Amino acid sequence: MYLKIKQYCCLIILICSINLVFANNNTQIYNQSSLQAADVYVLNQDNQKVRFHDLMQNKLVVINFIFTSCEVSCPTLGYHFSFLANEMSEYMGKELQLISVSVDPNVDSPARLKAWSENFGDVPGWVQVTGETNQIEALLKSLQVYSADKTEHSSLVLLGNQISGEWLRMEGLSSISAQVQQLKQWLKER
Amino acid sequence: MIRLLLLFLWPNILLAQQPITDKIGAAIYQQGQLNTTVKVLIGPDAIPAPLKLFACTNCHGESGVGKQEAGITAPDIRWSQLTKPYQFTSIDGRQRGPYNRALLARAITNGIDASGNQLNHHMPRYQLVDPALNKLLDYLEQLEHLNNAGIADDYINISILLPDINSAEGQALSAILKPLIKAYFDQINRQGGIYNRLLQAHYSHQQVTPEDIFAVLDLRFQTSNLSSPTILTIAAYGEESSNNQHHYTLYPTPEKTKQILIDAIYHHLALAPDQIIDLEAHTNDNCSIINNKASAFFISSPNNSQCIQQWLTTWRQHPSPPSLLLANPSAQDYLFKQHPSPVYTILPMSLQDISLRGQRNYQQLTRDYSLSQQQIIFQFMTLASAETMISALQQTGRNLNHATFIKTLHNFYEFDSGFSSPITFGVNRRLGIQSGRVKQLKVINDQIKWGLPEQK
Repeated sequence: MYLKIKQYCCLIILICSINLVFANNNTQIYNQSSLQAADVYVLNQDNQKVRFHDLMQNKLVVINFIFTSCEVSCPTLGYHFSFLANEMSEYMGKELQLISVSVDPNVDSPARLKAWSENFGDVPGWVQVTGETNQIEALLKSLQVYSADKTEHSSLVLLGNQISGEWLRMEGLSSISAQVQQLKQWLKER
Repeated sequence: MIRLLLLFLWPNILLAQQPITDKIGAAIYQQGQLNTTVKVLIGPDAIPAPLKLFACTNCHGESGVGKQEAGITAPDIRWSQLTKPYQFTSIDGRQRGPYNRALLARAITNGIDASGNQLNHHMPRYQLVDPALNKLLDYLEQLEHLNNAGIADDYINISILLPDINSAEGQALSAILKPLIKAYFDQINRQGGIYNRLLQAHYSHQQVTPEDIFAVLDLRFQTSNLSSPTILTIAAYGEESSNNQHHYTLYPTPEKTKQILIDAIYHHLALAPDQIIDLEAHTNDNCSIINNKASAFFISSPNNSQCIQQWLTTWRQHPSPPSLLLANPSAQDYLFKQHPSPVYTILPMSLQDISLRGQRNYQQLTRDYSLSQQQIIFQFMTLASAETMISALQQTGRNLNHATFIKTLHNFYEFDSGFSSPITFGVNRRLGIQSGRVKQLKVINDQIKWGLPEQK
């Protein structure tokens, strides 16, 4: 009986350790290797039509989800990106790409996204995307962050390594040092 | 005796002398603005960020009642809530005692609550010092009084902003809309008002101060926004304000209407985003068109009529002429009569939007008060705005203040005013009508008609 309980405990610990990569400074990082971003076309902040896969190709990517009239979480998410870009400035736009996806494509035109991102300064290597509603919805669903109510959008960030195919998801409003640490580790492994 | 009387009256005299709003405290709370550079520390890493990005109002709302978004709950920070003399349990289970000014100052600057617990890390730590910190505390103490301005047990003060009388058009429109709104309010008051509170209208053509006004009905039909973020406004027309939670608009601006038309035609003609070219920017050059292979063009008529003739001639010679999108129907529609491809336009407000109930009410109101039936589109837009305000007041009920009124508006989903298409507001949606009627130009017996778009 005791052995059986021990076996069950070991099994539970093993299952937990697969998904929970590590917990540091209250930041939980979850492995999402099965993630496959939908192959959609989006509009960037300069009103250029781009293939979402092309934005990520052979790069490390960090993706967050915002909308321009959001006032509680999005200023922090935006400011975190500008801070992250500053910390990783030598890799920005080359090995590392930051992407903000609008969860409100009906309202967020490229011009609105551009004006929103200007609040956080000029950040090279950070692209904000919107597009047709069905395309954006397909993208959000494929990244497992879709919410029918934009005000309940995900405050998660996704970290993707497009060489190894790894995806991690973590709380976007918590510690940013964990993101920096993870990205630097991936860069070292390249 | 006089001394005793003074003793009783003294706090009220002090309160009366105190200005309702303090500009410095209000600027920090509402806009995150201060003359000196102040940093806020955000997140568990205490990243320094500029104050202007993290105004208190973003999370706690204009009236301090708090908000929910993306799984984050910003608490109610009205003074009566913060100072309740018993243990308060927040949504995450944290318990705290009552705040006082010193404890609130500590919460704002260090993120520590009244009982010494760490606040959630979503709350930025504002590196404010005196006198700015004290001004902010003053403002927080007064916030609830602002919330109840312009209401008593027997009246609600409403400011009515009418069109500018410096222009002939504004004067004429004002002369039509003022008796209309007066009659509409009188009709409500004759039925007992709203929970026994009579509506008191204060007419003006300029901006108002919020001193003793509960709300503003802005009928100026201008795109400008009211400058003060604390004035609760329902405007017939204007821009959707991204940072003013007190400003609600019914009808979209031409810029927004244009976007609605372009989006509708994208879907109707199944076009890619770069296949519709906006010619608005081409008004002042030599009428050249950059992309002549586009499937559709948006024309802001009639301002660029010089170029229109030239463009139409070019397009007629084209093997597959593009569709045209017009900002609104105009006297120059005859120009497009011969165009070989479809011509579309959009009406943000149409008489088709008026329900039978609306028509009946309008006829009764104009008959009972002998009102003229002129400028009826503006009259219906006015009545739609007034009906929205009155319905929100009625639905809010007896416990009326800015916060409860705004909460009611946020629950307006496809509200039928009777005088407009359905109106929807929400936490992040302050433009009520985000649709329009797309029409296609048709020539019947040599007459121009605007009808339903033909199926593709």
